[in-house]
Amino acid sequence: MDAVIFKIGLFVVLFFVGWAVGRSVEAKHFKALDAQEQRLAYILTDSSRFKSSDQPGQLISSNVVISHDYFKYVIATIQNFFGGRLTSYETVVERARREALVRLKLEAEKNGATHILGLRLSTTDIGMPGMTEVFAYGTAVRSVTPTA
Amino acid sequence: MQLSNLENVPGHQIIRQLDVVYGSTVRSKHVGRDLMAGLKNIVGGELKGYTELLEESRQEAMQRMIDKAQALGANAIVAIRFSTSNIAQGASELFVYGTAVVVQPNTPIADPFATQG
Repeated sequence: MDAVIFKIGLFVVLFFVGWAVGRSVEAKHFKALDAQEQRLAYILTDSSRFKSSDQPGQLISSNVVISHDYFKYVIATIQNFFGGRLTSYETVVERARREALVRLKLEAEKNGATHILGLRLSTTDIGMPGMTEVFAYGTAVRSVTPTA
Repeated sequence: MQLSNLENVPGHQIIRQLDVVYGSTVRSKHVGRDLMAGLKNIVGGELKGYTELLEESRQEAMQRMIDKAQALGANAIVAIRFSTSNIAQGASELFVYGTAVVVQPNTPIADPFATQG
């Protein structure tokens, strides 16, 4: 009986800690992303692989591994039962993707580049429950020829 | 070694095409990192340990690919692609491949009218 109470207690504590901390972490992350995206907006990205430049370029890559919080996990489990959109996970993947792009642009900035050509984004499952990796790569160049 | 995931190396032209080269590495989770990851699962957010682990692994895979390209006598690799596959519980393979080529920088053609009049 004690074990059951302990389990329920632990669940309630984790649920509320996940909700409170997870929410503030997410809000802070979105705010930081907005600021950095605005600052790095001058770096243009392109996903066409045929474009090129007369300036030298370099391969750059970035990755982020992100995890959901306990609250999202519980909500997703419930949503999973009924099917449809898992709204609580959508923001997690969005955060990871935007973070990966911001890091890629920071990498480009370090090289003094103004364009990222051939941008590729991939989301991978790294084999751990609740963890997702977003990996971004592209070729950073200083300037782009209008054609070719 | 010039690396590019485009069809060409920006600012260079391909003068010789060699062979497809690849590199891979299989990584598994780390006990210490996993313990922290379990705690991070409660509050959510980035798992820096894993981000670094995967980045290091990809660097190693890339280094293996570069070694193969150098053995072929290439000075650049174009059309690089990355892929990650989950081969076992807690272990993933990081795979990178591309085409090894020999490139030379584009030399701007001298304008014949530049010095006249």
